[in-house]
Amino acid sequence: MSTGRKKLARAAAIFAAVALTLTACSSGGDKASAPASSAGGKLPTGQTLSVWTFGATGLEDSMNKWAADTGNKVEFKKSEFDPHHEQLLTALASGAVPDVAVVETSYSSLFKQSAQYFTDLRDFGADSIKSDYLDWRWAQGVADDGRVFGLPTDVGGLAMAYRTDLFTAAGLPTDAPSVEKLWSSWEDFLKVGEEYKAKTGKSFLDSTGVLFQTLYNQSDPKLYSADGKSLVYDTNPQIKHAFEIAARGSSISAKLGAFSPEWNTAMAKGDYAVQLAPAWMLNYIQGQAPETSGKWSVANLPVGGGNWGGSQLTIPKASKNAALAFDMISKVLSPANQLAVFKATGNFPSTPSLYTDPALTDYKSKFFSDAPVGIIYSESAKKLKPVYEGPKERQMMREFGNALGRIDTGDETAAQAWDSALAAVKLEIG
Amino acid sequence: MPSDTSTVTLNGVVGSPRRRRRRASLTPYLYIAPFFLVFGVFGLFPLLYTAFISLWDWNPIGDKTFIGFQNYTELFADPRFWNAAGNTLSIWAISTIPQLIAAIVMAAVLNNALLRAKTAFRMAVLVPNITSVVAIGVIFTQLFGRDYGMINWLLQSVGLDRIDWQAGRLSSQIAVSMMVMWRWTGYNALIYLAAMQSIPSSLYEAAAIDGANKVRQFLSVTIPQLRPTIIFTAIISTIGGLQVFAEPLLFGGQGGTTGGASRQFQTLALFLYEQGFRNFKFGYGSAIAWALFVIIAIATVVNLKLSSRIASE
Amino acid sequence: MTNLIATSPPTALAPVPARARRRRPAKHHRVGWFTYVVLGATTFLSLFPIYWMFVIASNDTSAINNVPPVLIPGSNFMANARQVFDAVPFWRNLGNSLVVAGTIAVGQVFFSALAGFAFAKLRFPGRNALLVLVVGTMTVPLQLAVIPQFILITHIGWVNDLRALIVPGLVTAFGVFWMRQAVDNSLPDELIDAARIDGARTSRVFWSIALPSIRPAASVLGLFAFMGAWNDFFWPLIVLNSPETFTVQVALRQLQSQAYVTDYGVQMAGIVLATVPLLLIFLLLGRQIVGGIMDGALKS
Repeated sequence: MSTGRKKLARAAAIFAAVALTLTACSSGGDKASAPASSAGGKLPTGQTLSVWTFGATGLEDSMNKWAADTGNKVEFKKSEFDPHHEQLLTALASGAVPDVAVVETSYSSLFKQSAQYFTDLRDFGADSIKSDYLDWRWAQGVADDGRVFGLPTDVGGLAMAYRTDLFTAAGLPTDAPSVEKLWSSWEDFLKVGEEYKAKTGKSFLDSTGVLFQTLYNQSDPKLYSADGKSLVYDTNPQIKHAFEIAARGSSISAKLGAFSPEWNTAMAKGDYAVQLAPAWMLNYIQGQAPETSGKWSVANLPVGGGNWGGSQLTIPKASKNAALAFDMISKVLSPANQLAVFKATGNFPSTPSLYTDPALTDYKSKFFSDAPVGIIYSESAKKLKPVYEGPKERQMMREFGNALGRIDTGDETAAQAWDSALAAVKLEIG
Repeated sequence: MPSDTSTVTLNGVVGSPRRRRRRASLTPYLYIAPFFLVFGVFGLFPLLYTAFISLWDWNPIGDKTFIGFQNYTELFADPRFWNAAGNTLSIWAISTIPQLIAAIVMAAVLNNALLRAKTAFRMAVLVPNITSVVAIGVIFTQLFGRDYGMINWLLQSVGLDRIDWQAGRLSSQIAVSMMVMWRWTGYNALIYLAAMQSIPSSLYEAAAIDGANKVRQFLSVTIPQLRPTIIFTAIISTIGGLQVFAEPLLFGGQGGTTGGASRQFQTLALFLYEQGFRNFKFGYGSAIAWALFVIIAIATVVNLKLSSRIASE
Repeated sequence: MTNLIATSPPTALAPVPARARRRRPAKHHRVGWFTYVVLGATTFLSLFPIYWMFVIASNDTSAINNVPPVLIPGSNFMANARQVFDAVPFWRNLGNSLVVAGTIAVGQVFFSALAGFAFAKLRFPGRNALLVLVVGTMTVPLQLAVIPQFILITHIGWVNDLRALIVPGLVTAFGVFWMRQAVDNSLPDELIDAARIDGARTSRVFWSIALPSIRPAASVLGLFAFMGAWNDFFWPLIVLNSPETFTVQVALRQLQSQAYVTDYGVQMAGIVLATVPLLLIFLLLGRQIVGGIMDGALKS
């Protein structure tokens, strides 16, 4: 090689080296300096656990507290609901994973199929705490081969939050028993909404998607048959009924996308009067509309109970800190801490031992006009039965939601939207 | 250094005839090697590998099954694909055609030599181009907001109805196209401006002698002279326009991946993203990628054909 | 893998009427009302969204959701910015973007200049075929091969690593073509002959003669490479997944999609923070950037 060429080669090499060094410094793959060892029972300190969530889990404070107590750190990444789960799939495929990831129940069946990408929590003794949790909530984190890939967070027992000030303005009663007497069916509920709208000119509901989600969550079975072997989304009369009720709600709906900035604003401004509210929604309302404190109350749904949401906390297999991560999730999800989380955020515990605990049943929320939310949601949770949810649950629900959106915009009638929803679901799962 | 320059040194460098004698040498290959190495690994190889994957039912965290051309037969029977293809073409048309016309008019105005603060104006029209696409997405999504958006407020204050921009097919595509237009119009105007400045003044003088006014001169001198540049910008805008991704994704908020509740503004690039990285169908996604390659290739060839025909006129 | 959207491989090869390149005398146009209307409108339309970004970024949510909308900046910018810093490690993200875009710009110029020089001035078997390959792939949108690229990056182990962005971005077919044209146009063979007679080797010709002579073209290419990499979104969105590795664009997307801070004021504050550095650079270098684009259109 001539000297000139060498010089050139050297320049290229130096350049490449500089480039790689620069990037190596700023790559995120090097967070754990020493892998945690589960042997010896001594947990490492000085580690940083990465935690991926959608929205708020209500567990952030507990996790930070755990980190402070144990001499570690927690870093959160919050994303939107669907992107969060998509990114988790991508991460599992690539091995660049967080230490802890939230998997929501409508996605749990999908991730069940990939349970081998998660740490089997039985390795850390998860079996011994199984009895702390509701059976069906526990089962949502168990794969077909028995592998436990996640611990249950809260239960999304369903109730209804409503604006007492707006109800008063519309001449409606405001105490929960009287409100509950207004309707004994979802049809009645719609009628009250129509009267409200006629009287005030304002929307009664936030979104028909939320209404559908609620009724869907009261269905048994849902989109899959009870044994999970076949799809019944198109033949299940309960789903059709849910869709029809939701479609009729369009005329009294503010037509907002749930969890959008506009929805948040409308919630704070009082642009609608009723918010169908799984327990965790109370946390959301308090976070988004703090200035409405004392203007809300909570009542039971027209009919039945139902569960919407709740998650499992999982530890991807490629995590270098699995033992530490398990220590954290098992502590923040312990019955004692779930009670504390409930008091702070409203997220309802998945640990039935609390359901008779006066600390929970006597709990009233100031924000919600001292409504007995403890008793409301524990009654709701007691009514819950496990309903089979399949791997494509979320994909299908998105299409039903889209179809309801097309009714809102006037693009389709309710009947057309039902047909187009079925067609879209079919394509989606095909 | 060797003193006999005729035998060594400038291996193969084109020089005087005496030096043309080529020596087999590695040097030139060393110069092009970095390019071809990186390009081959991260460009050409994935391109070909896409074709391979498209023949499989390929789940990155599940099974991989060879299924031949089944992804393609499914794709061509998939209304979502044709919907996305149609959206892509219409968003391209809505954004590109007015954009290039506006750019020519802007260039003609900026070309006015008597104008003061020329550079300031040129910089002003280029500001959108240095604004990032994510920023544009968020800004315009707010501008086109249904309840609190500036544009609806303007419409209402002049007595028109508010528009749910995101809901309608045409309205949502207009909104998405506006983002593309806003970003690229000034940029294209500068390119036209450069071309205009190289048009010989004798052509204008001749036209003026023939009694052509300014508009007439613009149509009979400027536009024909700009033709090759126009074709060029059309090709570039086509290649870019057919891959529009970030604008509709951001505009759609939570429904961005499907381009709205009715897929009313889902482009092919978004459909590819949805199938590949939401539904994790790598095979199907790869088939979409190939379909998009073909569409872009056809569009480019059509453009080139068009340009050679116009050039020979 | 430049961004999916950022369309334009820079303009540059814009064919331009080849005849006269001098400016024609100014007398043809007089500045009339039409000119000012068009100029006023385009300037307003170009700058208003930027101004409005500042307005939103400096107001709180309730002001933003007012009807009629606010039109003047408020005093809430610092509070909004603080929420940005709470939500994403913003300075880190900014640094990531600088590292990625800077390395790509320098690398692309260097590697393109090397190859461009070889294609323009060196003779070697296979040159024409390889050049055809380069030109032929110039318009192929390779970023659409994102699925195998992702698989590849996974195998290398670069997911969530800035190298996944940088290394593939170091070369582009366009860059090679651009530099080939530049060398061809600005480096006469006689100069090379003269150098060679003085005993210069190829590498010396490249370093001391070719590189300096193509400096203007190189800076235009570097600028475009920088901007392309800075604005890239599709690919980073797929391969980066933790806040420490996010580039600015992905971090902004993250701000948009945080269920608990979907607040336009905060989002817009993030956008202001991400845009201001580029705007400042633009104010300083705007003249050169404008000149670069216009030169680019004229060259080749």
